Amino acid sequence: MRAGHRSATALVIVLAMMLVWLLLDGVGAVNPIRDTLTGIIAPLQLVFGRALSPVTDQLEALGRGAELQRENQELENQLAELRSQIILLAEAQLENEDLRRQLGFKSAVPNFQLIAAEVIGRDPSSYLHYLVIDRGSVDGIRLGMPVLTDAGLVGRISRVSQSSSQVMLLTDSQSAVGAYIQRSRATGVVQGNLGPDLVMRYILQDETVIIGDIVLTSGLGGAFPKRLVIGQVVDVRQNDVDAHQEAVITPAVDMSTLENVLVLLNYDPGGLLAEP
Amino acid sequence: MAAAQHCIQGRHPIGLYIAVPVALLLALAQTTVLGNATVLGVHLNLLLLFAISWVLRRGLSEGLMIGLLGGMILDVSSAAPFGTWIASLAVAISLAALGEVNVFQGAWFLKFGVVAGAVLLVNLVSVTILRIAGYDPILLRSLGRVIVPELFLHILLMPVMYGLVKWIVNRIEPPAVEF
Repeated sequence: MRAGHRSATALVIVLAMMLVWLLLDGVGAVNPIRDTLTGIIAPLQLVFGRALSPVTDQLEALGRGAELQRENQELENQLAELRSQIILLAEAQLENEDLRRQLGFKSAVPNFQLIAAEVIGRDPSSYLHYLVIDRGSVDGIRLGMPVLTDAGLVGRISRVSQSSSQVMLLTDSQSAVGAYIQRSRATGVVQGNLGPDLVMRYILQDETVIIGDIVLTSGLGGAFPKRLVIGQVVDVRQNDVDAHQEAVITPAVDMSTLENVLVLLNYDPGGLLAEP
Repeated sequence: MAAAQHCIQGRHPIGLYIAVPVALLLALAQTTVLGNATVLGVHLNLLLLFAISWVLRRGLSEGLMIGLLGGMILDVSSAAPFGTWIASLAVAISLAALGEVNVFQGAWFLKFGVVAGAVLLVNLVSVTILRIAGYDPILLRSLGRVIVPELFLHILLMPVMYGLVKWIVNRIEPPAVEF
């Protein structure tokens, strides 16, 4: 009985402490403690993740043997197709640059300064889509910086500690990115939907959206540079009584298998986000 | 002194020396290798399964320690306000402690009822805190989309985790003397 009473008291004390703690967190008073704990736990996550990754990779490969074989064949076909496109694009770029030089324009290709980072952790909640990377303020990471891979946009830096940072993925319900459809130039906002796919909202009804369309960042709002690949349209939801139509987009980057990312260092996210 | 008190109550303090490292490893796994994996679109909460199984076998005090330390690791990796995981685990663990002392102790359905209640409480507490912190109302609409697969998944895995915890506890507790 006495043990039960003591346990109940302990529970009340823990919950009261947590309430105070959450209030303090709301005003940012616990950030130094959180940063200290992150400094201790982030290296442990790095070691733990690296130690177990060969085992998990093998298990995953075993479970997806047939699927991987088919995927590999498809990728080989795509690679051959892309190689031929690259040659054509390289030619077009040379021609484009030559014409721009003649007209006295600056290069339209942005000069990205990128830093590579390893994914060391993930948000354990089913409601939040965030990553932890092994680069922090000492590496020049600042709040709001865009995060990408060679395949496309991943998200943006949402919290910075000394040696690690947190990345809000495009798939998080809080994420919203100004975007346009490459073919039709129709604009909208790409939002996370708590699932693997994204939703592009606020596309005008008279715009044409086709399955397979490529979606790029519009640069509107200043949070991301223009022309970063977001993904591809896989479904269109159109209702005549609505002012706008929606498109379901599969991200160009598979967020569930990300191991390494790039952080864009020399992009100022429009002063929309405060310094950490 | 604390060790002596534990022994008087029939709880050997060695339990904590085993439970805490296991809980920390499970929390690290949840934020690293298991963080990549989703089943039915949701994450597996091994720490919760371990904590409530431990509480059912060993009592609330040790369970709270597991929740506090394991939850701290989850909180550091989470974008939720710091303490969300500790608070939600503490509430779920306290529910599991009711299972330890009630008249149905030992009944086969008890652990399923406890895990179902714990999953519901963890989700409700974390979504409430996220809403208070200003996160999108999409969370409330998604509650059902997350809770149903989480209930299914955790109820399915509970016998495995409970069996493991029972096996560990049987090795650290002296066998009960029966007359």
